[in-house]
Amino acid sequence: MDAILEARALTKRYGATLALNNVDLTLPRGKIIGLLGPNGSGKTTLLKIAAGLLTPTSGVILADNRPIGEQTKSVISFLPERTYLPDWMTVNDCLDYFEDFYSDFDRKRAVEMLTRLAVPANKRMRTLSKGTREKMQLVLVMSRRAKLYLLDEPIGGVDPATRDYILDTIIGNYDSEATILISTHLISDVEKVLDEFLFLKEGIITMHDTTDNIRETQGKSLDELFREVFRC
Amino acid sequence: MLGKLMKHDFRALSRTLFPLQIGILAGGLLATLLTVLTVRLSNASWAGSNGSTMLKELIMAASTTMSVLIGIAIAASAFVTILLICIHFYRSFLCDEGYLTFTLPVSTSNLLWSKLLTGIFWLLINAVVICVTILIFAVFGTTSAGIANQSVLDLIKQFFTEFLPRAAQYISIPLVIVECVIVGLLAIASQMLELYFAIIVGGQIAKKHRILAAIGMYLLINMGVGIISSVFTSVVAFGEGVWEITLNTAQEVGTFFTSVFGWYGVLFAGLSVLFFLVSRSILKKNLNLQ
Amino acid sequence: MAWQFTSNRPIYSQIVDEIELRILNGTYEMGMRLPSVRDLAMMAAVNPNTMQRALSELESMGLVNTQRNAGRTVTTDEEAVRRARSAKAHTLTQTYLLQMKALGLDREEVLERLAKGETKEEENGRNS
Repeated sequence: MDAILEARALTKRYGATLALNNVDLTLPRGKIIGLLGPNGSGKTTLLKIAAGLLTPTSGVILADNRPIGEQTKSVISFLPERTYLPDWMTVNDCLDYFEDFYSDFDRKRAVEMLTRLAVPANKRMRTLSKGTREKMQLVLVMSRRAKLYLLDEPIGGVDPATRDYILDTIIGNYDSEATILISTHLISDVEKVLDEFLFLKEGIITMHDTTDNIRETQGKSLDELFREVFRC
Repeated sequence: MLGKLMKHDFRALSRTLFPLQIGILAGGLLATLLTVLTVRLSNASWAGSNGSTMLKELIMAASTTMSVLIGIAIAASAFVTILLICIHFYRSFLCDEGYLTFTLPVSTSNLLWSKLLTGIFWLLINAVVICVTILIFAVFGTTSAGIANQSVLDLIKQFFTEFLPRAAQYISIPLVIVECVIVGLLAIASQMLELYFAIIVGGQIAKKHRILAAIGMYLLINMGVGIISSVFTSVVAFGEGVWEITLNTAQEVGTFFTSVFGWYGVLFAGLSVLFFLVSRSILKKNLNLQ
Repeated sequence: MAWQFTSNRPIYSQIVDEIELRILNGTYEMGMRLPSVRDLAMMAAVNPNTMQRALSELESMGLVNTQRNAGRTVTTDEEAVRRARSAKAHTLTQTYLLQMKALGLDREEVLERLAKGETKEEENGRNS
C-alpha cells in the first residue's frame, strides 16, 4: 500500500533555528503512529506543515500522494494543542460548521460522543471548562472519516481519566484505512496504542520502528528506550 | 465553498454589527424625539415662576446635549463598524482561530474573497442605516410645526421632479448611477483590502504588539497610497489635458466628471488587485500562526 | 480496567497469554463468541492491530476460530484446549524447576514442598 504521508529532505528554518533538519519519512496507511520527542524537538512543526499551516523552507512533503493544499486538507484532520474554536460558537454551531465544510464529517458519531460526555448542544464554547473544550475538539476531529489524523499532544495537560477517554476514543474510532499520527512526550501512556513510532530529536528523525520490534529485539518498552535515547 | 465561507463570516459579523445598527436607528429615533421636544419646549410659553423657566431651560439643555452626543455616536458608529470588521479578520486569520480557518479545504483566495465581500456588505448596511437615520432626523426632527419638516420634504421632491430631469438633458443618469456605484464599491474594496493587508503585514513583522504594528502599517500604507494616487491623478490630468478643459457648459461638466470617476475607478481597481494578490501570497507562503 | 502489561515483551504476545489463560480456566467458555477486535482492543486499551495480531496467533494455536459471518469464537475442540493446557503447564513447571534449582534445592525437597504446598486460599480455608 502506498504511503499516506511522505517527506523527503524536509527542512524548516526559523531565522537561525533549524526546527526540522532534512527529515525523511514514509508513513503507511492504517497504523497508529507515535511522533515522540521532547518539547521543542520539532513535532508540532512537522504536524503543522502536514496540515498546511506552515510552509517548509526546503524539501518535499506529500500527503495522499499530493502536495499539501486544498485537497489534502479535505482528507487530513488536525487537532492542534490549543483551543481554536471561537468563544462565541455553541456546540451546535461547531457541528454545523464542520458539517458544512467537511464532506467526511459524521455528525451522528459526534453527537453520540458528545451525548455520552453530557455536553449540552446549545452551550457556548466560552462556558465550557478547558477539559471539556479539549474533549469537544477531539470529538470534532475524530468524527471526520479522514485518511490522516494529526493529533498534537492530545493527552498533555489533562487528568488521567480524560487521558483514558482520549485514548479510548482513538482506539474506538480506529479505521484500518486511516493513519493516526500522535505527537507526544508522554510515552508510557500511549505506548500500548502505537503500532509504530518515530523519535524526533532536535529536528532529526533518529529512529522509526514498530513497538513490537523494540520489545522483541531489545526487551525494552518504548518508554525505557526513549529515556535512554533522550537522556539529558 | 465561497458561499459557505460568506455565510459563516456574515453570521460571525452580525453578532456584533446587527445590534450596533439597531442601536444606531434607536439612537437616531431618540435624538429625533429629543430635538422635537426641545424645539416644542422653546416655542411653548410656560406660565409660571422663574423656577419653571429654569426647568424648561434645563430640559432643553439636556435634550440638546443628548442629541449632540447621539449624533457623534452615530458618526462614530461607522468607525466602530470598520473596527469590528477588522477585529473579525484579525481573529479569524491571525489568532488561534486561524488553526480552524487555514485547515479548511478551501483556497486562500476564497478565504480572502469571503472576508472582502462580507466586510463590504456590512459597511454598506451601516452606510444605509446612517443615511436613513439622518433622513429621519432631517424630516421629523427639525420640524417647528407639525410632524414633518415640509421644507426638507419639498427639497427632496424638488430633487426628483426638477433637478434630475434637467440634469438628464446633459448626462445619462443611469450611466452616472452605475459609474458611481462601481467606483464607490471599488473605493470601498480598496480601503478594505488595504486594512486587511496592513493587519496581515503587521502580524508578519511584529510577533508581539501585532495590533500596533498593523496600525502603523496602515498609516504607512495610506501615505504610500496617497502618493500613488497623487502621481496617478497628475498623470491622468496631464494626459486628459485638464489644463485646457473648459467647463462652460453643463455638458462639459458632465463629461469631465464621468471621465474623472472612470479614472479613479481604475486607480481603486488597481490598488484592490495589488493588495489582494500580495495578501494572498503572504497568507499562502508565510503563514506563521503562533 | 485496562489489562496490565510488562515492558519487556511484545504486547501482542502478552495478550495471547492472557486470552489463552482465560480460555484454559474457563472464563472464556468453549464455543463462546468473542467481542469484536475493536471492542477487545478498547477493553485492553491497546491498538486494534495489536489485538488483531494476537487473535491471529491464537487462531494458529487452534484456540480460536473465525467464522465468516459470526466473528470469532473460542474453539469447541477439547483436544486443542487440553493440548494447550498441557503445554502451558509444562512451561510453568520447567520454569519452576529451574528457579528451584537456582535456589539450590534438590529434587526431593522440591517434591516435598509440592506435596505440602498450598495456595493462599487453601491456607486461609484451613486456618479459618
